[in-house]
Amino acid sequence: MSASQFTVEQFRALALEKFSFLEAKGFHRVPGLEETTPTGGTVVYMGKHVGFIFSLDVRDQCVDAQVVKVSDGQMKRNWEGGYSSGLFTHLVRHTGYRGSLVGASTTGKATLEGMVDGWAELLKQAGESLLSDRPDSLPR
Amino acid sequence: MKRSVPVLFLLFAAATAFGSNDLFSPFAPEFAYNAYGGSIERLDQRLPDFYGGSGQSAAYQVTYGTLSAATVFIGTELGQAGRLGRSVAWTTESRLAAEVGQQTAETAAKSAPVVIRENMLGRVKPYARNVGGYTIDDWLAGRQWSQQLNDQFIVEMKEQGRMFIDIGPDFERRLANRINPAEGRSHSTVYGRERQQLLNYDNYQRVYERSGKYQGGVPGFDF
Repeated sequence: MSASQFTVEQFRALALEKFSFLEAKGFHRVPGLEETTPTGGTVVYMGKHVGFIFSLDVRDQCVDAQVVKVSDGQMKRNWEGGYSSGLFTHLVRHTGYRGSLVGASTTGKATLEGMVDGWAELLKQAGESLLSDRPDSLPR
Repeated sequence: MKRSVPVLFLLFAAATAFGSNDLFSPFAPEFAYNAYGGSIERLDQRLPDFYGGSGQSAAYQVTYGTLSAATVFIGTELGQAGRLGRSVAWTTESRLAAEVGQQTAETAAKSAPVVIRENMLGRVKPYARNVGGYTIDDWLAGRQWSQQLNDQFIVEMKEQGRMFIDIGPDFERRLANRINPAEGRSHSTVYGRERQQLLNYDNYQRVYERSGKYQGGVPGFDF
């Protein structure tokens, strides 16, 4: 595994392109909440009630997505009296999502673009409730 | 003396566990349940968490055990204030671990505990921020990550006698990977190496639960 296989810069450029549809749904990017560290970087989108944190883990060469409750313009995670979960787990637990080939690379090989695409497509196809950004979009 | 310390805390922990079974409730049963397990049968597994591990010195165990006892009272106060649940248990227990890491600076651990495991920005760093923990990002201080530096980080932290807090696998990644092999990760090779380096290292605390191959995490933090 190479440390420079996927870089934060590449991830961020791709993420801004692939998640731009979120802005049409009323979400806005919050660069002030984004992080860049030696082991990764994040891209943050926030709506009125729902927020998304997409992150690149350089060590594991993996893109992750989290859904977080937004309250009064602040992201509130589980331990802050709010709610946070991996996006995939949230959809499985709360929307009955059971998986599909959405976003799967045809070669089965994980590429940075494939992973970012996978999350974007998953949100579009199974994340309707989250994208509606209602007070009841999240369980608490 | 060394052997009497665990015995004292066995008695204390037994009282707490009875509380969690509604047999006797000296403190806060719900807190005790969340922090230390819900049955007397699990005591033998949980007890070392209470006094800091059997491999520690008596002074370490006394300090750790006293803080453990204090945690129960703190939990009770918070509960009376209005909210007592998994988040409080997690926060209190984790901060306790952090305090222990800091307070034993003159003995075993030099300063803040080291937080390890899967998903740096999604899990490790948020957890570390909450407990005053230390991560490889702090240690790298802007240097580019490499496996070699990762190895060196673990070696150095061990040499300093630091406590390691293991927050476990990112089960989300495993589930995602199970459903779509192009997503997530079945396991982290970097973490696997860290665990190898930490084999037989005593100052190590596992804080996650596993309820299945694709389910688990740190209560109050991951779910």
